[in-house]
Amino acid sequence: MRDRRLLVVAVTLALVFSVAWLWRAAGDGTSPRNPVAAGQAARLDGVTYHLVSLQSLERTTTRYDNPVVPVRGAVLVLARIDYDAVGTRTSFGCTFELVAGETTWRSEFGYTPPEPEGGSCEPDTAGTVAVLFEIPARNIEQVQGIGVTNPAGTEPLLVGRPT
Amino acid sequence: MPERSTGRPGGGSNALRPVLAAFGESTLQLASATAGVWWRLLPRLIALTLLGWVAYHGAVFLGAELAQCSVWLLIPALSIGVVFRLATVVIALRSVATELGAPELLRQVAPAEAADDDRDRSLSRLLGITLLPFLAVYAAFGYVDSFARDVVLLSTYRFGPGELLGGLNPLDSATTAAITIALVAVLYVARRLLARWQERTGALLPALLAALVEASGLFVVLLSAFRLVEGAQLWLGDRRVAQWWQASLDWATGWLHFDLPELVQRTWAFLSSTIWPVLWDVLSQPVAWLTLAALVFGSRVVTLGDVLHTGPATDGTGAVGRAERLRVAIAGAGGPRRALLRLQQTFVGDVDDKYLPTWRSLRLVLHAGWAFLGAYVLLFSLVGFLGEWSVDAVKTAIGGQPVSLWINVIPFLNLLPDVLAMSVQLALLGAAFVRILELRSPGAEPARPAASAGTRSRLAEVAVVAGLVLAFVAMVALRPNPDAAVRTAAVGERARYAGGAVQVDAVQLGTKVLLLPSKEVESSPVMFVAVHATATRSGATTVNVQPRLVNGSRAYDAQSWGSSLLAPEPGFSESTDFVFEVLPADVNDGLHLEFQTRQLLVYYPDVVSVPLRLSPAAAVAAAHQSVIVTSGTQKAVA
Repeated sequence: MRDRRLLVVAVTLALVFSVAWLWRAAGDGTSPRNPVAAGQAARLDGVTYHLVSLQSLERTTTRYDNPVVPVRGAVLVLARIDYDAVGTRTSFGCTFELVAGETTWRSEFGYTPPEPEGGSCEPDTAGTVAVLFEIPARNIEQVQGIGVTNPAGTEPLLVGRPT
Repeated sequence: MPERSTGRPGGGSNALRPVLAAFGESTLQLASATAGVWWRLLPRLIALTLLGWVAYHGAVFLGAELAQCSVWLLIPALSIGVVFRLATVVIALRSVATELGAPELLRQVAPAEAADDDRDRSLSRLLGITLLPFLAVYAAFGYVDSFARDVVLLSTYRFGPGELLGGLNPLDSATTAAITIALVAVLYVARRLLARWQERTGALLPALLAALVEASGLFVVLLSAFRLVEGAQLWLGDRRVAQWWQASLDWATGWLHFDLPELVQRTWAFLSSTIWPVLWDVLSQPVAWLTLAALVFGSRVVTLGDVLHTGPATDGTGAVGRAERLRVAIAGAGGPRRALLRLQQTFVGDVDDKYLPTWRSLRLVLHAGWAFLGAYVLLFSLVGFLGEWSVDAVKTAIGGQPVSLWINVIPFLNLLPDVLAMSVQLALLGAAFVRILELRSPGAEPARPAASAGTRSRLAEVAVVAGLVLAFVAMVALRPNPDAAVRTAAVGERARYAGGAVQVDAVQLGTKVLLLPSKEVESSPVMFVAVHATATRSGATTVNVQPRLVNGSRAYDAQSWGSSLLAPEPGFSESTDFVFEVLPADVNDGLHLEFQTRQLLVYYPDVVSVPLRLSPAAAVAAAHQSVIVTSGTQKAVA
């Protein structure tokens, strides 16, 4: 009888531990997203972001008039984002990703938009950045918006549909 | 049955038969006793091993989380886990011993002068007596290290690589260094004081606290203070004394026709990386556990302290005389000398508390005879291997996965070895200990053939032991690869990999590399192997591969003339050339490309191995050829 009671206690404790472990594990690897309605601004670490436009393009050009053409079966998505980082330190930078459910795309490395838009956020400034993504054409309908990456916690999702 | 000497030399097989019979009989006897007691105590053994499992993984889980508030909170969290786990093992061993009648047997075989420490009267007394030496041996054999290793892994995965170890690094800040040194000193003194309190009162509380403090000290050393030693070694390496030492070594070994330090280093590397793991897995580990079990069951250990008060030494180690002399010297000394002698007595007391009982237990175990020990080691290792192999089987069934998945299922995978296999091993330990006592009891048969047995019998024993060792080594060697799920694919064949697929499209050999579109040419005194490879990512799961060329123990990373990484975005495939500069001797049938995710943390990842089917003749033919390397391309997946 004592053995059975001990077994019940052990199994109960094992279950409690398992639930705690799995509950903690469920939050691993995915940064929770906080959707910000179209037209609204998001605030993260003292910086505000506002999605100005999200355009689907067949081709575009860089600041130096070099053409950018997607590979066959893909499209370009150009996001324009206003940011206000006045008061941030010199180490400040921003990274964006295109979000479609669990799937995300990184921006095209090295793309420099035509003036006056910048290709990256500068510390202690306010302005507009233009970020380019290349995604499979079949995914364009699933795009939900632009995520502001934040490894430390919740990521704002600037909701918007490519036009 | 033991062999009876006839005075005549026997034939080879005749000599082997009784030796094999003795071994077989011991094995069957032990297996049957183990099965019986395991079945009778099944609910209790499963409950206790399950509690031990919760203690281990709960401590690792809590430690990683609490370290976010303060890294020092990790130390008590892990210490509680270790002590709780040890307590479950001690209680389980005691249950098995009692079930098998070990206390009565022990009283029959114990020497008359042995101290009766009343460990069988209550559980708290047993824990009080055994926890500390148990912890010392548990730590000496590396079991405590696994707590520290797993919490560092979990914390690195969840909170990043610098968080935990950086916060505990005494070389990073003077405050951390001061805390570390103060903790080591305070914990040591506290442990000694608690041990004295426990000796005086015999209560459980000081024993538990002493074990907790001892475990905390171990974790402070394992996670933090070890860096002070490393720092001191590095500092010493930069001093002139290190140059003097090196010069002296060079002078002393100068007349030799080989590099002695190199030979010592290689021998040590071979012993530590090849021989020791096998010895540890199959021989030392079972004996270590039986020694721990003997501590719990009670070998009626006469401690230094006991002898100080009750009489002369009985074990002939000479240690007792030293302790007695110390006591007399302290009584007659004064001032600083008295303080120094007190310090010396403290150290002797520490050895007394932790290691002397273990040494006596080990002697008891090793005197049981080879047939019994062989049978015990065989069964213990077999159960342990079955536990590990069951984990391997589950891993193989799941297949290679990113560490993010594994880190969350590891505790549940460990249920098989930590609960099921461990419960059988605990029963086996009890049965083995009882058998040792039976072998030592007055009317027992000799444990092995009599000393008068002929040389052939001795040779037969050696042959059986050698056969056993070979069987153990084979058990270790035949274990499937526990580190990665390796799949093989041919050149041109698409292989599933993580969240997509990989493929080697083409292979080129040459001594020059032509880079396009820049038309830059580079040459090599050895050989270039250029591999055109493609990786495809279907969905959200990341595909991030850094291929490398492998031949036997030699591995080559891709050089800067081509790419070093394939990391396609979702819905795309990426193709590129990888250029490896290799020794021509490695261009043969053994050369293969491995697609593998190179991350800080990996646990049973996917690996795709592609044999390149290159021959030495191909290397000769390519001696004056160029390999052509182009920039990478991307395609949308249909």
